[in-house]
Amino acid sequence: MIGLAFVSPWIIGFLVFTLYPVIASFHYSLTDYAVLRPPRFVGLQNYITLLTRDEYFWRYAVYNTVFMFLGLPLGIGSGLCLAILLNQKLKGMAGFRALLYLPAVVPPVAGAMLWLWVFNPQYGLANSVMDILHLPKLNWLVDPQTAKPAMIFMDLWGVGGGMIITLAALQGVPAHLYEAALLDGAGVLTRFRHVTLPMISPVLFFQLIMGIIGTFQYFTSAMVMTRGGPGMATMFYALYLFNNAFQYFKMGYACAMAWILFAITLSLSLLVIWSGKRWVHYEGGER
Amino acid sequence: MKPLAIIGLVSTGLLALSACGHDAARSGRVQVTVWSGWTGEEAKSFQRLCDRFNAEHPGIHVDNLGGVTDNTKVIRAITAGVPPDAFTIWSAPDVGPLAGYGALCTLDEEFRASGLKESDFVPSALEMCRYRGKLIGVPLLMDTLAFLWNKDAFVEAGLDPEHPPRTLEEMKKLAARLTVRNADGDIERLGMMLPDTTLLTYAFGGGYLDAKTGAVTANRAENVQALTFYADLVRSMGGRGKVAAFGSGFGQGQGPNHPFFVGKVAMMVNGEWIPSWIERYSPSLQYGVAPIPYHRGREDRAGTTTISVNMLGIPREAKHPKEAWQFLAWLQRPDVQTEFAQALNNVPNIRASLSEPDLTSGTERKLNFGKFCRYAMHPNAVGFPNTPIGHLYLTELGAATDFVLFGKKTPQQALDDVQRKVSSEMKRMEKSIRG
Repeated sequence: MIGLAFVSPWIIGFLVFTLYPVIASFHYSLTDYAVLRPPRFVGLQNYITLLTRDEYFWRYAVYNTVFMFLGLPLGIGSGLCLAILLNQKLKGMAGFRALLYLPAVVPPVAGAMLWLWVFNPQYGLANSVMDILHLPKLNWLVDPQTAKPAMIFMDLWGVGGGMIITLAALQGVPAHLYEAALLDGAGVLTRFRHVTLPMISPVLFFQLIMGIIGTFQYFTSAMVMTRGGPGMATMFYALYLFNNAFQYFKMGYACAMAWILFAITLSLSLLVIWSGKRWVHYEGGER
Repeated sequence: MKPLAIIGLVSTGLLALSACGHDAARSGRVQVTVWSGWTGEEAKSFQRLCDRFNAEHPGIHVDNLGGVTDNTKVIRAITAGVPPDAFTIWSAPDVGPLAGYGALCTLDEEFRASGLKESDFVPSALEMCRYRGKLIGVPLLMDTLAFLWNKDAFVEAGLDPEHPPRTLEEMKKLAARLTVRNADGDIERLGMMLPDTTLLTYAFGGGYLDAKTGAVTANRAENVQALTFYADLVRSMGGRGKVAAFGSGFGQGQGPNHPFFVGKVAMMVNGEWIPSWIERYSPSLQYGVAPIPYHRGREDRAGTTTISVNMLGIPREAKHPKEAWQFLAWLQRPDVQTEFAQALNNVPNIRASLSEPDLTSGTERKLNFGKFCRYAMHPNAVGFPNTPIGHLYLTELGAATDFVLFGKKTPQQALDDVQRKVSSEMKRMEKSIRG
């Protein structure tokens, strides 16, 4: 009983602020709910319209998918590279670790405002760097061609978070495995492929799933920096959902979008988990 | 344990007492809750109005909550059944849905009974408070646009500084002449700050809603012409890339770094607050104010300007709608309008106040402000119509402009797509409203 009493704040919070809204949103997704008027039941109409008659739904879902396929390998890959670099036993590593992790601590909105100025075509750092590298100056967020790449690039700023976790995993690889590999005559790359990667695969697996969920929920930066522009080039799925819910007075429709999003991320995650049986090695566990 | 419990009990008691005390001070007076969107200094000016009303009306107490710039707060309050008695509809595209779904009181009866007359008002301002012919709010000051030009820049380019362009085509030629580029081809001064495509549409004689049927008319011939003109204007000044790059480097609007004040743009269409900003931040600037140019061949569109209003509405489930209406009607008194207009540098929406000598004469700034007031009265002053799909319409129009500028669609294609999407959404929305 005492135990329950101690956990009750969390239970109440979960029921009221998480479970109830989730169930309510599913209920609303089956209705035409204009917010200013009670919801009217329409069955699966919202889902059918979304999947067959909404020209924007597929386009924006593809934006997120492209974001995922480009951003995730870059993000996890660069996190891994940085972690390997930081895994050296040199002086000052703690300082570098802190510096590289710092961007992950910056609040998303503040970061977005900052990057708006970095990407400013006339005065921004991004174009100054392009100048130094003798590359042509770009219009970044103001040009539909470069807006999405710019945002993918900006997202890489936060690799520090994943990097720290990967670093911890790297440092957890048993040293005797490396020694055994060395004795067998394995080179650097072979050691990496056959010792390092399998041993840190659980962490990579975790980052992959979190990354999939994250890229499909991408919202704050798009909302603060471009509001979906220019020419709808950065109208990501979650932003379109927001517009439907709070500007177009189509709350039921937006809830249906949310549940489809859930279905997408769930299936992708299940896919990764199923494939994980092949390549994720748990220490002491069965292959 | 005991002392803590005593402290807890005592503080709870004090809180309860203070709450009672709150009401006691207002007992006998009807509490009218108002949620207003003004912030900072403007909020203080609005509060002064509320205080003045309270002093003159012993039976009513207007309780103003300022800084409510997010309309969704009010919408949530309405949905929850605890709306304020009156609120500023800060986001104009929300007016259509709010009115269409019956969330606002219709005020035609109250208007007639209060002795207010349509002829008291600036016509376009009152029109903005109507939805499908019914009055669902009242204006409280309005914004209007005029054409401004930098006289020194004109002289530099060899143009007559007292001769602003009368037609849009003239304006485009001047924009090309006044644009100054440096050796790299980057723009140093932009001839014309890009005007709103909505304004251009009206200056070409186009429109967004059929006045008779209420149907969406996004791809009217005049609208296509206006969008084509806009693309040409950008091209003549250096193309989208250069113009956008230059535009993104503009300093903050209100302050000495406004691009017009520092000579970064030579001409612009902007609002009635500019003369007072210039007086405050850049008093040595030589500038002129003139009516907005119209499409050559369409003299009937001379005097076109787009207006917007601060609108106050009363939710249907307000607890004290009668007293709220009294406040709204009181805000239309000429002296109240003048006081607020002076504080905010906005145009009054009551005609008697427009010609108030204190507002519109005496200094160069006031004379220029007076021009804005005159332009607001022109029959061609118009605001974007209230529709149930306002947000979608504006988002689609913005995207259409972008598509045209980046060469992805022709103006006709872009507006045809807008027409298709918006009119089908409108039909769906109407069906949903009818239930």
